[in-house]
Amino acid sequence: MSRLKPFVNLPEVKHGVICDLSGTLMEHSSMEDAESVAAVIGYFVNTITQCGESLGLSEPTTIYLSGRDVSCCVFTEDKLLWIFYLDPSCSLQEFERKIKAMKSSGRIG
Amino acid sequence: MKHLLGKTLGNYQLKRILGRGRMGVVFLANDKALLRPTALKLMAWSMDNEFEQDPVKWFLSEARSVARISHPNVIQIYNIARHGEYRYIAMEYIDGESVECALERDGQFSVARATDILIQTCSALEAAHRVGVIHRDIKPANLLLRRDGVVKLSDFGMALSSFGSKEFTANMRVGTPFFNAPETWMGRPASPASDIYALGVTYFMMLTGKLPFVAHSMDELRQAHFSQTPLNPASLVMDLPHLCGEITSKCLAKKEYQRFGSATELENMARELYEELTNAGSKSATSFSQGETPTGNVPTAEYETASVEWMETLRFTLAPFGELNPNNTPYNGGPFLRTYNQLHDSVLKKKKIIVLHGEKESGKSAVLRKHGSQAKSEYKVVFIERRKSSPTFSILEELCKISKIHPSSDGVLSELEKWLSLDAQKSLKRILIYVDDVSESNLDMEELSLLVQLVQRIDACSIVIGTDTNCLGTVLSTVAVGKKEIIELPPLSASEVRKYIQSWLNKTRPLHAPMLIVSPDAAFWIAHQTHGNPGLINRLVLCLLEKAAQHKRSVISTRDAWVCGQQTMTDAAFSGRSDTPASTWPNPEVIRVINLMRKTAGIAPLSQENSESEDSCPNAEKENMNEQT
Repeated sequence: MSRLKPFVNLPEVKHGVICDLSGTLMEHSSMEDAESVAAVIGYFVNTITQCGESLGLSEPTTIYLSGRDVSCCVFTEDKLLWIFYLDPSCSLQEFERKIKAMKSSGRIG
Repeated sequence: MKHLLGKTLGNYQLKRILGRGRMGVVFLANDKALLRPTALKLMAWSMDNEFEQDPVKWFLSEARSVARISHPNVIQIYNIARHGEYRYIAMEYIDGESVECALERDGQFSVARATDILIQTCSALEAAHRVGVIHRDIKPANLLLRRDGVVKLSDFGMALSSFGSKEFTANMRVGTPFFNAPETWMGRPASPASDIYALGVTYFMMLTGKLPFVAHSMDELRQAHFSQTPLNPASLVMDLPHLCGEITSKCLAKKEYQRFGSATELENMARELYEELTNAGSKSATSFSQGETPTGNVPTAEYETASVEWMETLRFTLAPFGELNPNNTPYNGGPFLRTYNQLHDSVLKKKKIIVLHGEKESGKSAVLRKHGSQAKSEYKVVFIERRKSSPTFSILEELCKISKIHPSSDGVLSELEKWLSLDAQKSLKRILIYVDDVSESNLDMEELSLLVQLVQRIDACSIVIGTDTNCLGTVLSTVAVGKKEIIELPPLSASEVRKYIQSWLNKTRPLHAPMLIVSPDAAFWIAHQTHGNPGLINRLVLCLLEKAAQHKRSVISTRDAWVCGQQTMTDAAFSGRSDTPASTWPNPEVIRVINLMRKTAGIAPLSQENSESEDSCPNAEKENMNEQT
């Protein structure tokens, strides 16, 4: 059963991808180059985690990447990365709150 | 040959003359079948008179020399054919100019640009020398610069190879006098060191715009090559790093043994200099990366090439993938580390005969060389390997050369025994003899048996043999069980393949080049295609990197790996390794294999919904994929 479906139905979500920490693609919502997205985000999160460790921070749980055309939100959970491509006009904090609410109501994972 | 313009020879329509050489006329042609520009070298019959030799043989020899070398910095041969009275070599067309033209226009190059060209040429030369080809005519005119800065070594018309038809000119001084090494003036055969000498002259010219030796007559020039100390380029150009002088002086040493031992050795020093320039943020390095690539009076590009930054990535990553270089292995993990440790243990246990066995191109040489260089502090190390210029080698002869014992003298074995025992006594060190590259085709069983017996007679001596053959049974049967060890170098596992590729990419990528990431599934597919053999991985990744740079892609995906795999399958090395026909993507066989490999690695398979939904990718994308296949 698709774990992504409930989230890609949200109006602000353009695409969704799930991968593991090594960047191996697990699931995606008909995204053209999901494999590359997974590989790049996997690489990126690993690098950020290493940087965080050397700064004495714990592992990141949420990472935002904001661009002119698209925003990207990455959640880490159970050694999986949940990647969402969002409409840049949407509020990232609002989206995070929404996701957390869905998680706590058992609609995630 | 102007009358041929517009005519078609085979698949090639001749468009214009690119140049004339000693061996023939080079045309720009359009390959009507593959729709790509191609350089067509038409044989000129006048060369017949030059050495009173069959020109066809000579012409074939050039094509065969180049065809043996597979390297991104060596011009590629597509075909050799005859059309009516014309014989031609179809080869890669270079959209650019020669170093000679660029020097004529610019006078001299910045240190960074000159060093970059030197590095790329070294890489090409090493590949040629490794397959026994000596170029014999290295000079600025034969180094072609593509618009994106990639150097291509061309014109192997004078090359000497171990199989060619030019043995009669082996002792003849060919090439261009300003670039000829002293030994060739003396009538001795050219060697890899002669190419290094010529490259040194070329580097000197690129740095200073001048030749290292000036003469008014051929005799004067000859004398200068023999006895005149070349100028330090720093005396002609202000603020040159001292390494430039060190490089030219070592390249231009009068004696062959005083020069760099190999093109790789020269490349390493040039890389050191290049890194020094890049790290220091040198003005010249910056100006090069900002576009000091040849952009002058060059033919218009007829196909899209990658941007300069992308070629930067390609240039630095291709070299190690072009060949598994035992002196430069960024990845020392996985089976390499395990085998290295086993080898080290066996040496510590004073095993007399240690055999390192592995498939062809599995990385045995890298492990042996690394062990040898680490062992140097505690052991007396003797390294014997097949010479690049020769397909066979005599272990005893090589050992005689090192010990300066005449190989044909009576009792050569007892003399060698004496020498080894004395050496061990004098140095108070155990002797480790490494014999690399022993294969069925070059194996002299009797000789190896003699050496094994010899080693057994000397207490403080062990021998380590790197081989891909299983035929050493007879030789080893004379050795007591406790005194011998056979170590297997296994292929890379599926999970190690990605680490191996990514290590190369990360360690060879210059700071300003875009990153390249191999997706885990692509690595699985590469592992499946190559069975984890580093040599085969190198070749497949070479194709992938070229594609990545061409399409400016920073991620190598499974589809890329599959497409390149299909192309590389035509290579004999890959034959029989897959029966997947080229069809549309996603290929069910690829997905099945990857899911199987994921399962073995404890990774969940790709969601079935997704693999089906990928089928519905846009038509344009599908067309693009079909084009690639």
